[in-house]
Parts: sequence; structure tokens; C-alpha cells
Amino acid sequence: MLKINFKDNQILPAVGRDLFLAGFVLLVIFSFLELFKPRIVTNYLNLDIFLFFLLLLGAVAIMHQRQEKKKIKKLNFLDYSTICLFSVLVGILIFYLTRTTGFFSFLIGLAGVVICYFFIRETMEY
Amino acid sequence: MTMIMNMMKHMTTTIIMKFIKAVIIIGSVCLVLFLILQDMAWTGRLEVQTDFKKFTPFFTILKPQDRNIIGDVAYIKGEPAYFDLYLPRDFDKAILEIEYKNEFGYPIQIGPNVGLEWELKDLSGDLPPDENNFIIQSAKFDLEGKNINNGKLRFIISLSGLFEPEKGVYVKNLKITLLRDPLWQGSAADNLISYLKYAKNQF
Repeated sequence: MLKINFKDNQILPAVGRDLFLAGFVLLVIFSFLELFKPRIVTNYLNLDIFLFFLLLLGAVAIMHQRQEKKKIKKLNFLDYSTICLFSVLVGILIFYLTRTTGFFSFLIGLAGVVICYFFIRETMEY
Repeated sequence: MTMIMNMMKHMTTTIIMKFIKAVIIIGSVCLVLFLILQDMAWTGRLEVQTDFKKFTPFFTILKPQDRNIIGDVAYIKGEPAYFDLYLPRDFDKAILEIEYKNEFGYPIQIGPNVGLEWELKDLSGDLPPDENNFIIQSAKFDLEGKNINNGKLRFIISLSGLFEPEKGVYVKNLKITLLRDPLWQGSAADNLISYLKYAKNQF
């Protein structure tokens, strides 16, 4: 009988990464929806929980990728600049979505920048 | 034999991964659609409630703050008190249900803002009080022509005769049911246009 091997770290990390990417895309969509119509997302969705799981998934995905040693590509200055800009954009989106929570909004935005930066860098390096 | 087994294993893993990806994508699309449809009140009915202990997406706390005390339940010690309701779109009617304890028998009136005035209504209901003397009563309002600014409608709670702060009224819960035509009734295009117009006026 065929068995799926969860121990060789193929399926679960891939699912985690897919969930993080889906969550990230949702975050962008939510931000645009909020720009178009305020409270369309925040009225019905607990953003604290959503962002907590999104950042958690991002952190787990980074940690898993950092364990893999086989480097293929070195990044140049342009790559790093793009990653930085993109990460800051993500941070601003998170900051905008959670703006009603005050200082916590700033912290979670900063966490989003850091996680996004490392995640994209690790993804591009391997 | 081992090669075939490995190939089958690989194929199974690939199929499972594709299935999981499809579930994630469909789930994300459903979530976005759910949020939009919910905001459009596609069933024609939206129920929101608050206990006034903190700001919620639909309600503010009771204002002004020096006329209220927030403990296990909200306590109104001065009158009148106000609260704001944030409407996600245009609605025709609102049914307001309030659970309160009025030990000193003040005549309580509630109503939305109509320009410089208030459309005050008496509360009514047949439900008996619970063991702590909290009673649920309601009032129905027509929302047409009300002063809705940036999606916000202010309500007043009037308690005539409340002059002593220690003889106030406890408010445990407030539920508002907002009503309009469902999405499938009438023209869906008109419904969508009125939603977009409302969204535009929120800025």
C-alpha cells in the first residue's frame, strides 16, 4: 500500500508555503478592498487572528527554507532593492489594514516587513 | 518494481499537492466573495449587536463618556446618551432591540438623528424581565431621510427625569437588525449601483 511520507518534509512545508502565499495575496486584496470601501473586510473578519496566522506561517516557512543548504543563486544589488521595496509595501499594507489598533499596528507592520523580506530573499536564493 | 513504486508515490504526492493548492485557491476566492456579499447584505438582512464595553466595527461606545460607566454592563448615569451605528450600505429599515434594567421607571426613548432633530420612539415589547430585572424591548425605524454621514448614523437614548447619577439605567445589550430588499429581488444591477453609490459617499 502506498503511503505519503510526511517525514521527508515535502508536503507540510509546501502546504505551509502555499498557505502563506495565499494569505499574502488575500492581504493585498483586502487592502485594496479597504481602500475602495472602508470596513468591508474589518467588519466581518478578525484581522488580528488573520495576521497572526499569516505572520506565523511566514516565520515557519522562512525557518524551513533556511535549513536547506543548497544555494543556487547569489543575489545582486537590484534583487535586494526589489525585495526591500516589496517588503516595505507589504508592511504598509498591513499597517493600513490594522490602523485602528494604534501602536500594535506599527509593530505588526514591522514584523510583516521583516518576515516578508527574509521569506522572499530565501525563496530567491535557493 | 522499486522504481514503479517510487513513481507512483511521486504521482500521489503531486496529486495531493495539486488538490491542496486547489482547495487553498477556492477557499481564498470564497472568502473574498463572502466578505463582499456580506457587506452588500445579499440576504437583505444584517444583524449587529454590542454590549457597549468597547468599540466594535458597527458601534461606538456610549457617549459622552462622563455620562456612562462601563463595568459588567454599561451604566448610564446622565442623559441623554448617544451611540453611533456604522452602516455598511443603504438599508430601508432598522429594528432596534435593547436589553436594559430601568429600576426607577424613567420613560426611555431612542431614536436616530434627522438633521437638527431626533426621531424619538418609545420602546415596546411583551417579554417578561429576567431574574436580574433586565428586560428586552424594541423599536422600529424607517431609515429613509436619516442623517447618515460617511456611513455613520447617530442614535440618542433619552431618559427624561434622570438627574441623579446613582439612579441610572443599566444597558446589557443592543441588537440592531437592518433590513432591505435581498439581492435577488428587483434588479441586481440597481442593487449593485446603489451599493457603489453608497460606497462612494463614504469618503
